[in-house]
Amino acid sequence: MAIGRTSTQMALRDPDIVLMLRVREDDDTAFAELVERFQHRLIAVLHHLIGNTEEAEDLAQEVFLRIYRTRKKYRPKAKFSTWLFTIANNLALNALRDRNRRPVIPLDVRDSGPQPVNQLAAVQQEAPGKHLQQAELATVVRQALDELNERQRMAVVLNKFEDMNYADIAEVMGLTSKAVKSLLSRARCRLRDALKDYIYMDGEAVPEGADAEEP
Amino acid sequence: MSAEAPKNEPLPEIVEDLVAYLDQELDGAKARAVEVKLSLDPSVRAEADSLKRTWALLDYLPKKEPSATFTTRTLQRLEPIKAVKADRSGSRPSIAPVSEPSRSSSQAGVPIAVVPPRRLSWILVPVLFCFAGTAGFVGRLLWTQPPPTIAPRSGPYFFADPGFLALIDQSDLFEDEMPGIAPKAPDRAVKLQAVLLRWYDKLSDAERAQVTAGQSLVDHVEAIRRLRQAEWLAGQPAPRRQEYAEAAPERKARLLEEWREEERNRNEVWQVVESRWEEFKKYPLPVPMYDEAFRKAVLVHVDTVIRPLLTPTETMRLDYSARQGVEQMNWLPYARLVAELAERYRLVRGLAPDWRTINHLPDDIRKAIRQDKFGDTLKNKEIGRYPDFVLNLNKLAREGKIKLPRPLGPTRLEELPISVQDFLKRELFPRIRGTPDWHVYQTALEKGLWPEYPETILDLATKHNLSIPGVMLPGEPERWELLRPKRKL
Repeated sequence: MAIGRTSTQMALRDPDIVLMLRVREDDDTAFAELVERFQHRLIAVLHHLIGNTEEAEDLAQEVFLRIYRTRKKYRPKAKFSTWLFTIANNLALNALRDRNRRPVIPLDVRDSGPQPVNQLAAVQQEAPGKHLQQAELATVVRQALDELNERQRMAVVLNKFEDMNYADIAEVMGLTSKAVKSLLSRARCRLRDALKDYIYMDGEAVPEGADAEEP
Repeated sequence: MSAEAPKNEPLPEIVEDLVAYLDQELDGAKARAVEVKLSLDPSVRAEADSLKRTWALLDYLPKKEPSATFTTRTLQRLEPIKAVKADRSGSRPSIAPVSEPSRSSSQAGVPIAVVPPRRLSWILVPVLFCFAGTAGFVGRLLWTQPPPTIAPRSGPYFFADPGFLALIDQSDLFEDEMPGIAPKAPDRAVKLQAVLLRWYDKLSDAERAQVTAGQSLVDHVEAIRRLRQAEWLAGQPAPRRQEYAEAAPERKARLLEEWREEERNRNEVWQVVESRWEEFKKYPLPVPMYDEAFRKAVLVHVDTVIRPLLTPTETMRLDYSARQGVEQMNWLPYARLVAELAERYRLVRGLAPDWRTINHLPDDIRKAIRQDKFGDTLKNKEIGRYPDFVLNLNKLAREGKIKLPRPLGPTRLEELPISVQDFLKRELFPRIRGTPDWHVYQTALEKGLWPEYPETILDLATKHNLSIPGVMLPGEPERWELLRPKRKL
């Protein structure tokens, strides 16, 4: 099947598009390569969003299968990774909304997801001292991330862990770059407020002009 | 500040810009504005610091890796999807998938690949098989490889593969034959393919066999690279070919790379010449850099006026191009760079103050800033570049954010350097008096704005093809103009 000039031009810039075009032509080895290439990034992002390893893997599988199912309609319009994370964004938001509608109380403590209130309270009551263990800090950071709304969390995760610029995040989330700028600004301020007790630790001096020392 | 006063927190819009700045999402002007705020306001600095630290805390989140069986499990889940597709296709005749070995044609003795079945009317399928069986044409054309994505005019099937074209494009092997076609030009792929086909047409049978012999796209690209290198080397002067032939194997690759780099630099210079050919015909050499006296005057001007203003990177570029001039007697790259730098640093010392940090500011300016509650920031905070730092201060003053007691640079004749005053009185004024340009000058003088006043003088001198001594490059400005993109006066 011939493809248009636009597709070829896109492919010149993005080797992943080349692979996807082969997937479109039913090349299963190309699909396997795409899975190999993107599974680490995708699962990491989904795990940061969902907070549960098994659920993140299930969603990642669903992302790949959705790509496979729609391969015949694939027309490269953006970087392949942008398309992939757009699908991931939609699936993750749906999953989070489903979860909110049907809250599940886990039998075990989730690997790094939102913690039961009493456990978190215990962590927070500890002074943010010199020897705060890394795992405890991860728990606190995890909770701060979970306090963000879903869109803020997605923007933060894509920006921080996928190193995506505002334009790409906007494309993934169906927003304008300006909206992403505002979203990330609010998200980072919320994170800063949630983590203010942990920002300056181990006797570090708070810089002049900061509010942290004010009564 | 009273006890009820709000905390000294930056405004939300400042925070938005600050976050975007930390994310390197602001363009030059906005970024510099944030840098100025950072240098002037401790609360903004503290905000930036806390935001950065918060961001760093996210690194404590564990990164989960996929389980070892993730790929296998995902691929297994394709089977039901394929089965559904197969069911949907019903009794329609189909061609075996590409990956199945059973799709070879025993008649042609060549495996028949491809042709995406759902895109081709199934009625045509038996016809295709017959055609392949009798003429072997399809087998030869399509081989055992994936289908072409663009139907090539001739040449191997992979010349139409987007992946192959991408590899060729990245390798720069045919860059010389695609002058003026931008990397993102919409028709770049098609033009690249046409260049490839033209090149392939000229090859001998043995050379073509080398191109097609490999098993993968990378093999084909490597074969093409070897042939292109041999061609390129054959076009080099005899002493170079000799040097290459005698070089040790490990040095050969480095020699080729050095010579290619040299050629690329030369091509860049010639692209300028080519793009302004009519003007170059008028001035075969835009500036007489091969005239020793003129060259010396340029070098002195550059070293005394421009060099002290440069960044380290710009200094390195300047030195490199000067070496090219001295060692290879090729002064065009130097002249181009100097023209570019003279444009960037039009406002030389004397036309703008050389204040690059807050510590450089004179007392009256500092005092004014302090009165505007920016006083606490007068510390060793180096920001900006010449003359950007001063221009930014000026911009903040224009926006009403800082009140300055006076213009930051000259706005009257007597405030200009003596050499500039002399030039104006002796050369420019006699030439423009009684013309509309005299009105332009007088208007700038009456407005008393900096940097508009000195910029107007520079514009008028350029317009009248006059060089201001000690300020502009020696020689006629219109000749220097030929070495840089056109600028509107």
